[in-house]
Amino acid sequence: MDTTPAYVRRHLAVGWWSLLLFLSLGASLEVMHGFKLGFYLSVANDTRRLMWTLAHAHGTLLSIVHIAFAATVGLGGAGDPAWRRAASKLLIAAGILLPLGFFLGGLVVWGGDPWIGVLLVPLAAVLLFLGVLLTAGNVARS
Amino acid sequence: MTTTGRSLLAAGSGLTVVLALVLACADGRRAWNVAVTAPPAATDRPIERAGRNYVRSDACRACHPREYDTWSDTFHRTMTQEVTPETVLADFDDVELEFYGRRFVLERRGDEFWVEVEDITYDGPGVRPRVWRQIVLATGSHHFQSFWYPEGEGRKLDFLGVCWRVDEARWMPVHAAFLIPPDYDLGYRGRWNTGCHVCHTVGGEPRLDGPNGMDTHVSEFGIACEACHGRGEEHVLANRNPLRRYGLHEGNEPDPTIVDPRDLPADRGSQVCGQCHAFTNLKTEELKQEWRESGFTYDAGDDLTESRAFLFEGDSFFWKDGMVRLAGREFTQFLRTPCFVDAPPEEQMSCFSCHRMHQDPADPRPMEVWRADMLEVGMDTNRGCTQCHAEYADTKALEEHTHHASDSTGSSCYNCHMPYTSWSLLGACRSHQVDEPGVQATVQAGRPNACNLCHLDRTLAWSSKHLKDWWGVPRPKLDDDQRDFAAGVLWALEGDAAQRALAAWHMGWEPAREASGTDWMVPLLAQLLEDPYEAVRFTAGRSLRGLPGFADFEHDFLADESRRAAANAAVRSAWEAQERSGEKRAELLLTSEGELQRETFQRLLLERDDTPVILSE
Repeated sequence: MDTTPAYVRRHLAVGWWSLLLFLSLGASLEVMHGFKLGFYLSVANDTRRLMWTLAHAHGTLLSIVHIAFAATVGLGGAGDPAWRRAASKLLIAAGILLPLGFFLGGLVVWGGDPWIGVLLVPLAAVLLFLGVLLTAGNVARS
Repeated sequence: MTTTGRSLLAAGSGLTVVLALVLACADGRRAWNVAVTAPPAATDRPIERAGRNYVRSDACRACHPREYDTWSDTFHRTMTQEVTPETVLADFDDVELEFYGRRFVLERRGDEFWVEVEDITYDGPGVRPRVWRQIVLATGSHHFQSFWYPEGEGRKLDFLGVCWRVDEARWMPVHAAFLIPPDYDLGYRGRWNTGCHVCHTVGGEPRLDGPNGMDTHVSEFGIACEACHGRGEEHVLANRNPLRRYGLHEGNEPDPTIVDPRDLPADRGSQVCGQCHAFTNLKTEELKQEWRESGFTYDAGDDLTESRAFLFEGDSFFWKDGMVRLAGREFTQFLRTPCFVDAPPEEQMSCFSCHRMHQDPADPRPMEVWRADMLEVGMDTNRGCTQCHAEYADTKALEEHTHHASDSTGSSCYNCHMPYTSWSLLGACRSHQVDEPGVQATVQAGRPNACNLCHLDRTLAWSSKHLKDWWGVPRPKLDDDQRDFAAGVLWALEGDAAQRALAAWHMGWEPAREASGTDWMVPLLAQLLEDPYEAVRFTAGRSLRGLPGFADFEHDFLADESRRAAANAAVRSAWEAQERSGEKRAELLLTSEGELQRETFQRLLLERDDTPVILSE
């Protein structure tokens, strides 16, 4: 019988699947480099390039954060279950919204400004900040 | 971990975010340009200096990467550059040049470029001493690149008397770049400070009367963003606010903190180009005095007529009827164009009717093609005119109007209404004074008419007959030569230097060659190889090499008189030995056997108009 808490499995699944997704995004960006696509590489599309690079980087790093969170919980270091659940939800929301905000920001660019989808980024940053704060606090208390 | 430690870590994290926000706000209130500093070592030449609400193009790049990128491709950007191995196109590899008794030794020392010249500041007895000077600034990069070195008095720059022709990859005396007599003194000392920087930089402050001499500063070398969009500081500071920016993105209203010439009324928008592409004088003595210190008061978007008066006559810059014949002064020509002057505001032609200063992302042409004349896609065809004169988009209507086949160069609006009657930098340019073709202008003002610039082999009488028959244009009174000899012959032999240059250039122009044949051109081009003006000789040689049998003809247009005469004789001999199939008409100075009518040829040559022509920047 599997005794692993459900949200540990959830974070492992989210972590590894999203890692696959964002590594694929990275590979797609490399392909665009390889074929020198102006849509991505021209100076006029600098902002798109920056946004999608950030989407790839943040998505990949947050995937690893999910796996680290699952490992932390698995090792019994995440303290109070209520705080743990809250941290889990915050991290999952941030893991979706942060790279999504960067990606949407790069879909349409106005000169040096990304599309307003990028507004998801500060929201996600706050969620991530709180998620990490809760986790750090619980680990320290446990 | 202790409670205190956790609290400290959490507080530290929050503090980092707050600090970033504080810095962002503080930076928003800071003047953008304080970060720009002049190179500390440059004390003997003009320098870039921030201030006076200029922010320079670097500040524009972050928000306008595409516009910055397309501007970077233009020859506007490279109009003035600091001399570095990356910016110098010319050969400085131990070069020795001598033109008209002036000797230049050019040398590269590491990343520096030096010239040994006679000291033009010396006015003592005997021969001028020779001095080494470091070349510090370069002008141009399209057709020519010319160079400047410090005189040693303040920031005064002197003009190196030789320049680099880009497509020929060779040095030439500056007299060849322009159309000026070989003995004409262009005025080399302080020329950059007193004139050139005005249009070749942004925000020039001449500061001509400093305590140590000229102390010229500019905001930016080259023709950059703020030359056309106005000073940018207010715009940059206002748009630090993301809410403002996104409001502008979502709305359709232009940003009032910056000028977009295309959003201005046609006349005001075109004045932005006209600040440089026109002959103007400052209107008052006060403005002139102010200019000596702090430059022009005009900013993009202002009414240029408040400070400047446009000139339509003077020197040899104009044909006798007032049409400009120096290229690069298109706005002056525009001011005499009905489409600009007489049209109602909503239909008024502007520079942007045809030109686009930033290449359209959808423009399929290579950047090199676009930047040559910065025309919108299709504006090198009749579309330029049919966007208003839509009736001539119809092939039948066009042919009825032009009396030429619709797909021929005779049905090109530009060829008839904007012919190549301006000159600069070893080439003819289209007049931007859109007018009706007519022989009257040739007879009265000496300005070559559009008909005969294609039909070089026809007389003015022939053109005036067709103009009368087809459009009812009154026939002017012609003298015997104008009735008897082809216009191309007259311009090449007895014209003034501008007419001769244009004749030589058009003899290399494909539409004229197709319409006029080429056999008869050879003796004329051979004669022009001996012309007193370098530009005419150069152009004649280039056109000659495009004619059958002369592709490999070599001559040095800067050779001495005897070698030039020998070149003329050699070309003529080769022509006489050729089998020629072209028409043998008396108006082309040919006998029925195809021989040259030498007597008439010589007579017309002796009647050459040697009035000095000075078409220089």
